[in-house]
Amino acid sequence: MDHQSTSASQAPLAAEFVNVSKSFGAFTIIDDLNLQIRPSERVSLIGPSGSGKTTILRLLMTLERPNEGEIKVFGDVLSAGGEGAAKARPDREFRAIRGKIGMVFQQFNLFPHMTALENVMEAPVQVLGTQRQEARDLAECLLKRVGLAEKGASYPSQLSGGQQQRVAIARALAMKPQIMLFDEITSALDPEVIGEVLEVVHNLAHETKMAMLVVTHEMGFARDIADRVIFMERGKIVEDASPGEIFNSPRNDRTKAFLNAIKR
Amino acid sequence: MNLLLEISPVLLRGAYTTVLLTLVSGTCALLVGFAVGLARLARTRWLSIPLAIYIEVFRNTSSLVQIFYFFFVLPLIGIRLEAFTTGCLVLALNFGAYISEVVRSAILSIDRGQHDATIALNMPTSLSYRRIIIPQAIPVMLPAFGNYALELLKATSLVSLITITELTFSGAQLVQYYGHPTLIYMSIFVIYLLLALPLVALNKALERHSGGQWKPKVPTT
Amino acid sequence: MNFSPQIVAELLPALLRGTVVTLYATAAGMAVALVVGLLIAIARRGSNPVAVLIIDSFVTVVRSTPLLIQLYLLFYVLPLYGPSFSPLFTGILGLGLHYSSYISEVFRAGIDAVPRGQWEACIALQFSRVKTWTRIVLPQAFRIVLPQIGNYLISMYKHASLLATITVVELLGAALNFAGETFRYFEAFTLVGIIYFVIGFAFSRLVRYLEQRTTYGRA
Repeated sequence: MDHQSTSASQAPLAAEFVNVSKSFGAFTIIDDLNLQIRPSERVSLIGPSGSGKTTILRLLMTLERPNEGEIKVFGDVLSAGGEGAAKARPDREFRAIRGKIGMVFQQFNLFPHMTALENVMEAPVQVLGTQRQEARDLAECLLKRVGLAEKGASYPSQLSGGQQQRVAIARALAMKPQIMLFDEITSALDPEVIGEVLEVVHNLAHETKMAMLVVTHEMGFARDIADRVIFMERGKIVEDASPGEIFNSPRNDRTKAFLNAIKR
Repeated sequence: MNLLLEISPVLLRGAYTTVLLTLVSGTCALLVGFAVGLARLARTRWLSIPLAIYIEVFRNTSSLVQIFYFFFVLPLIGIRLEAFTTGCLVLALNFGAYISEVVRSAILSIDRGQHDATIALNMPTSLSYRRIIIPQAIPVMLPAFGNYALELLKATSLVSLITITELTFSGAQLVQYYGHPTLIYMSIFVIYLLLALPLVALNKALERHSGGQWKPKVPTT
Repeated sequence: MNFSPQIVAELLPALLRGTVVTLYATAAGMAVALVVGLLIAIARRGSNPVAVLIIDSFVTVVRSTPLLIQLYLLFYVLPLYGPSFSPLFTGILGLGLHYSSYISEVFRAGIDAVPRGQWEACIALQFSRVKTWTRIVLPQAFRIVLPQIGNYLISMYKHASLLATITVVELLGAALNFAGETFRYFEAFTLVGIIYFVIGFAFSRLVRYLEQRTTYGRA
């Protein structure tokens, strides 16, 4: 395939979905989707539940495999369905590509048997081979950045939901991803702590150059963080435009209907 | 009372062998159980059918029959093992089959999100299991392990029937030599009870702390 | 090594008779275990702390000592002081008592699993104690514990081979007798293994089916 050489010679896209489909049994979640994310781009994915937003993130993180199509990260094929699935990459190469992506989950998924600090240190030490002391310094720095400098020794069960989610953000940052995926990161939180988590992500957006893909039901946040908003329905992209356009003058009737329903 | 003094060295030696059998075959059963349980989770195709057969055969036949089979039939096909080795081998394979199912179901009980998180942190599967999944699954396994430890201690009495001089066999020999079945068998009964009570207490404690929930250690800093 | 069909033909009738004895001992042993286990579970709920302590100790002692020793005590020691039973009866008694310690725990959990509201409803409806137990609590508890009792039935079926040690000619005993006379250990034990497996496997599939049905039924 000469795809790689051509896309590598131009500035490669951070992530690209080429004719990707995903179904669970008879139920099609993602329907022949094409999507391109440029480096450092901030993209919000909005839409009704079951529209496939989360599945896009899970496909990109390789938590799910596509049935059809290809997913590329910085020009390299990360996963593919159909015929492409047969020729899987060697594990080392595959992980080198996957390592460019990080993810924060709705349910935090912190490791309950490790302290906050250990949660953040674990992957740099074990996966990247970082020296313990260096990883500890990095972890402390990141915990400070998410406002949890004193909570390093606490176990997840001793932290509030908002604090756990901020540890999870620090944990994902410790792997220095170039694309960060945020999957409904405030949906499992009590209303009073949502703000502290959103603030952390808001600051990140200003301080870093990572590409960000954000799935959220918080429309204010979706608008604030993004340079581009994608409205999805039934596994398809319905509208893909700037936040101003989508929220002020949506062109598609279904986008309008969705935004009106949310406002009410 | 004099008789009791006279036979006590034999009983103690028997009790020692019983404990040794329990420890050796228990350790081996844990190794077998973890290896088989993890191999079954890995879904390696050429292994899955032999392992499933191993588990079904050892779980659906009598352990005493297994012991006799290994003791009487293995030598016929040229494999000669010491009685003690045979006993340990059968007990390890028998309990290993049960433990592999405990290991498997405990690992399957760990939340899907933990697997997702290890993938998002780009961990290879082996690392994910070693550092994240298995450490969380072990507290889930412990109550079952405790129960099997007690069952194993009792099951070691079966190998008395292939001439291993553990506690039960020692007792049977003493009865043949001295008579006095009441005193001797009651002594043995009590010794088994004494050996079992620490395990009973341990199991009670494990049950109280169970539910499989991970309880944080007290933070040190 | 050759597996002689002639030997198998000679052996099979004896083994089948042994299988019948094994199954009979298992069924009768389970009947004893169910009755004694249920009585223990109900008695444990009584208010007399001394009685509860005695019952608990009995359960712990029976449960934490080997069935083999218990059979020896029943077979070699008990007749010195009192009644002398046939080997088979002794074996059934031993199996039943040993497993009653497990079954009582199963019943206890099953009874605890019957919602509190059921007891309160019985009081509100003026049911007698006996009626409360027999009409309301136990039928619900039985349904909850059935799969677990099935598992112990399988376990007991395998454990029944220990009766061979007190001269009962059940499945294993039949094989031991035959092999002792003919030295055909290979055929004898292989056949015994197969018979154990076929029945045990069928039992365990049945119990798994029961387990699945009850869990789905409750959903």
